[in-house]
Amino acid sequence: MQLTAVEKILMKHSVDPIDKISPGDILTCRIDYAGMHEGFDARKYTQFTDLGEMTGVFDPEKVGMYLGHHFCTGHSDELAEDQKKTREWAEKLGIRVFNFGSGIAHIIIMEEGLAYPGALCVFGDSHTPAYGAVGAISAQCGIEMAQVFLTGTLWFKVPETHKYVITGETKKGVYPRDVIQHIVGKVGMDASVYKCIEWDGSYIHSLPVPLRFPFTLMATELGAKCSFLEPDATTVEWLMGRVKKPYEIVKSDPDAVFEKTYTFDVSHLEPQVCAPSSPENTKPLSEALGAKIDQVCIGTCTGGSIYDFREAAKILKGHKVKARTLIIPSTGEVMKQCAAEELLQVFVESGCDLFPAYCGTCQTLSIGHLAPGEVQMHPGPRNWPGRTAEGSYTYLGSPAACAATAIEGNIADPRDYL
Amino acid sequence: MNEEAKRKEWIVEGTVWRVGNNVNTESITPSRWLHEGHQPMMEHIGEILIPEFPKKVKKGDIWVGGSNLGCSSSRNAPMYLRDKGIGAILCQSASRIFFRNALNSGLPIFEIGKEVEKIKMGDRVRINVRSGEIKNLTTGAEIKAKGLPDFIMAILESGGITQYILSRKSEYKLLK
Repeated sequence: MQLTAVEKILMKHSVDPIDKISPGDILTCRIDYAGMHEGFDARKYTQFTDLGEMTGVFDPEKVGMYLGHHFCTGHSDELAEDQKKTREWAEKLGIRVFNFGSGIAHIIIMEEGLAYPGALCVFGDSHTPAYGAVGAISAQCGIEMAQVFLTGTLWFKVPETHKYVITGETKKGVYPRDVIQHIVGKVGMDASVYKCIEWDGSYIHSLPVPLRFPFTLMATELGAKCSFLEPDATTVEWLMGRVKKPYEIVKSDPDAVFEKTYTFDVSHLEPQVCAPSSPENTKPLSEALGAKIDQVCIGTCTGGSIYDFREAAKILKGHKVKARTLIIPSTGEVMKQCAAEELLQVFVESGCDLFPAYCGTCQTLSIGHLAPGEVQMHPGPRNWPGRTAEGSYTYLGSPAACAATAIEGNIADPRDYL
Repeated sequence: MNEEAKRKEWIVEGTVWRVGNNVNTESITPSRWLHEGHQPMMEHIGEILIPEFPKKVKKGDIWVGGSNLGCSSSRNAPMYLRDKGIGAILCQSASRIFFRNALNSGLPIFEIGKEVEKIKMGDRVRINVRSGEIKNLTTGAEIKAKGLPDFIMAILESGGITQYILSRKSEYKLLK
């Protein structure tokens, strides 16, 4: 067989048994895990109540409702009421609810072992491709979530696969967030529209699992439908104690057909930055040095892991921040680890503010709003217009670059502090 | 063609609102207005891209984009475009999320590749949704879009996924 991992996983989940598969085929598949967050409009639970009374979901063990993804606290009467209603609705149907402080849904789903090698998952958020980091196939699902919650199935078009191979070792001060930013700038945001991106190469396999998330998650910024990274010994070890059921690792065949292959050697890469206001607007950090930054957020789905906070603390220790600086771990688990390692003490002493785990200021939906004319920097995946107030701007950089920038109040080079 | 005949054939005919490549959903439906209810979004939709759009769009108009239309956030931008009067979407290629959101909101969407370059801002365009025949009435250019699979057409014809499920309620064991 010459099958890619995504073809094998979709084939294995097909409701109608099939013995061959090719890109463009449309299949109805069984879903191993489905969830949504507090969301907007049509992604709220009203999409279900519009259908009349639901007596349950296809399998309560395989469904989750995440209320702490976009919001860090109940910051308005309306939000509090909406969350109360959502919680009551979910609990009535036996759906597990993740409350304020639990953090970013995608990261929780991997930490909790709800996504696992070979699984097929859907979630109501564009960054769902993230679970490829643990060898699952996962794709966004919008108002069709009603179909999934009711039947446990959804239709999929089988995608072609693009392979992105990353080799080499990065220099000091260059991080995974720099590497993925470099790639988005290099190939462009429509490089892999509707494709599966399979990540490979010695560089990406050398990273701990949480530092692989920026790649599988930001597959979305390359247009991809889903993303995949073949599980290795590091993955299996990280998943131990997290996944509570037996799983089978799925891999692309050695002779699998990839529609395109991109290769990147990161040995000579310098720290990168993404300038306002598009995620592909990549530049070497050196070209942006000195740009004034009013607010820094260290956190988000692509810069809020324990590895990121260790690096940020290393830079911030013994310094005071000039920019107003928000520390926002990606999940409660990361928050606990930051506390255990006394990193929170470093952040407080350097003048940063601590917030509960959630998405952070990548979108100013909860806190950390900007005034027109203000500029922020964070390690998140996006800086599009419309995500913060009109007339405000966002730079994206590694968590280490964000920490150095916080100290100087201008875009700064993390290597000066390492 | 009179209104009844148009409906029977599902003809969309209107003025084109043209945007470029990699247009993100936050630019169409900004985060600022997502939690303010429906009306404020109707007043501000699309204005980052085309300032006069929310004031001048007419029922049946057509939203036309380049490649990777509706990338980024999975908010249901097509649903708001539909509510604002947009009758169909054409593009070189659409992000998967945007594509499915449109169909699930009952809004026809066609990916027509480079042929989209034959359509400019302000052109009058007619689309036969069921046959995929597209005519630029301003230039005379004709384009044939690939039709949608029957079961997807059924979701579209129902008016979206919610109406589709409601029309088959007896098939869903978990619905009372």
